[in-house]
Amino acid sequence: MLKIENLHAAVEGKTILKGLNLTVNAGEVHAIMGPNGAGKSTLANVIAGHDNYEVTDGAIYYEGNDIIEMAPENRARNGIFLAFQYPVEIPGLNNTYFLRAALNEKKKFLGEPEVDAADFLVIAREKMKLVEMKKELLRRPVNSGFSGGEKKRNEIFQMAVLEPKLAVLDETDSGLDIDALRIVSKGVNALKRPDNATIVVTHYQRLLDYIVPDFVHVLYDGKIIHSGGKELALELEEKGYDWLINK
Amino acid sequence: MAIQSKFDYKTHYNTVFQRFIKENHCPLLDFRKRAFEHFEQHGFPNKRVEDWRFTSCYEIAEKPFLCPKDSTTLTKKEIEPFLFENIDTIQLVLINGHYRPELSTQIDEQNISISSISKLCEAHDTRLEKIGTLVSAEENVFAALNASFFRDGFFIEVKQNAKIDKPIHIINIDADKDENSHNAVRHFISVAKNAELKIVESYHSHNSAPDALINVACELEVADGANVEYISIQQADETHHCFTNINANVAENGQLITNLLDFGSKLVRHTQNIVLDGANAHAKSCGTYIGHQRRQIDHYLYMDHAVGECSSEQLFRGVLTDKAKAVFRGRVVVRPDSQNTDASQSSKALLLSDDAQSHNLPQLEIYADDVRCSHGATVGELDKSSLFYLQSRGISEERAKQILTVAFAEEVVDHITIEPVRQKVYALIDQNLSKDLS
Repeated sequence: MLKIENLHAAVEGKTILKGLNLTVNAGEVHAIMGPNGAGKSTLANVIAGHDNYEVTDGAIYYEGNDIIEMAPENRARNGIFLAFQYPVEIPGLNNTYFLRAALNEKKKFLGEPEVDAADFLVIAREKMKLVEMKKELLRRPVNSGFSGGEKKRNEIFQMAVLEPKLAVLDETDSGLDIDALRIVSKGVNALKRPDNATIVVTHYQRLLDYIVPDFVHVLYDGKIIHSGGKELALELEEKGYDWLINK
Repeated sequence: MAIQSKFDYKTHYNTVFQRFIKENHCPLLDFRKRAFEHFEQHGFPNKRVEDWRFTSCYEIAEKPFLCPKDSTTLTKKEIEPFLFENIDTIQLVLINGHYRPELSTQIDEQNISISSISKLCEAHDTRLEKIGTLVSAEENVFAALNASFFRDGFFIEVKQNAKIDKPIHIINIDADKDENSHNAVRHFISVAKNAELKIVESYHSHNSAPDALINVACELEVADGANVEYISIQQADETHHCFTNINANVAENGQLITNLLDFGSKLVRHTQNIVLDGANAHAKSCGTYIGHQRRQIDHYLYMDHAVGECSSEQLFRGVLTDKAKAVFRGRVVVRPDSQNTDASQSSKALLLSDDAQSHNLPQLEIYADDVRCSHGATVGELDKSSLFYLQSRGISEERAKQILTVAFAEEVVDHITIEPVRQKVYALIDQNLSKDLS
């Protein structure tokens, strides 16, 4: 589904990713771990197509096509979803209106009929249950005045509505208490299917107690320096990153 | 410091004024004379006057403005487009600055009294003494001209403890087919202790000659514990000039929300002075404007925390394109003994073209020490991270820009508490922005 080869990327002239390789197949959950500043968020944003990040070398193949030149909206319509580390507050834009517009862009792209306001509400109510989100958040402006936990739930709620093939969760656990973490993870797990894949970018092992990965990768200084199974996360929790970095 | 124009406007206005006071005998004669003297002394300010640095009165000074004739009226059908849908209001219609009772709601209520000012003049009503107590003729040149020449408007009094369910809708229509029309109206609104009133004033043009001058003065007296919402929706012809002076005094535990919405005229200037005059008084001053072509929209606001324990907010959003221009001067004064003041100010302008400009001038003067004051002013483009957020959900860049521009313009509109009015304003924003965003 996703094949990243020798990826180099820079922000404001500073090279962050320095030859990253990663392969993700349908049905798999991959965890990307690593210390601060290793390039985890850069990787998530580059996959989604943020234009602050300049790809200077390498390729990202998604379903066989190099997507580096593809606009972020087209990546999204093709099934890539980024759950933001810091979801943006947009005062004045109604959450329901926003998400219905997004869903209909995707439907249009796929040649499916668009969803009207009433039908959308039915879909939204159903999907909100997954993340135990309060109904009134639908009527509020996007993320505006939401608590940290509400913002993250809103991200997973959007993911549930848009049904991506490849979801990238960027530090979705940051700022969550244990109950919120459990609820958000439950949502992510419920969305797991044999034909989709998830990349979980995280700093801490604790999220991986809830979203169990098939593979764990250690990202350090812009490269993946070590990969393993789910037990690697526990080892990292115990020993830190130094033993890998100094290897 | 006055404009020296080719046209001798002082002589012109003097002639008009002498004729006007001869035709309009009324108890306001002294008030008018003092106002006119002020105008004669000061004239139209030039750009060396600090408050007029960004705004030119030259075009107005060059034109021989006259009081409109009072013969024009419109049919019920013709004013229909100016009404709100799905809401029952107390409708008060002014055409060319004259009250039109046949188009207005006649009320017979204990709790509220509404009189046209021309009627009060005829009756030599003593309440007229209140006129000018909140908007003084010395305030600025347009306040002076308003005081000199206004003929009508409304004197509204809400009795103690009365909650007026129906909003008042003042429909101010400029329908003068003659050129150089100076449409001056004036209101005095007094809401007594613990009473509540919502009032919407809208400005429209109906087949009027271009370049009219709309000049409004509105005095709002908010008594102890009273609650007032004042909304102004300006949709006058693109060639008109519109000046308002909206001043208010808010007493102890009183609450005032004002919302100024501008979608018309070529030059708009709002001057607003709000005095928080008793403990726990609260004022929220909001506004939204959209500027195309060469439209200019000015806000000169003054929030006076005369006593402590009060709170105020100023919230303004503007979208400017082409060569449109905006000036926001938000002055907040916290007097030396006004402890426990909470004041905030936020003014943001979104510029959609390189030639649009916005001048944001926050002025906080704080003389007390135990206060919370915040202000934020931004001028610029759409937020990049918001744009990416929408794109990352599959919304095209172009559509995301449209959505975010509308969202930006609608943020402050959410503070309107009358649902059908809010819906109408959303529609006006969509309609006004669709030209720029297509």
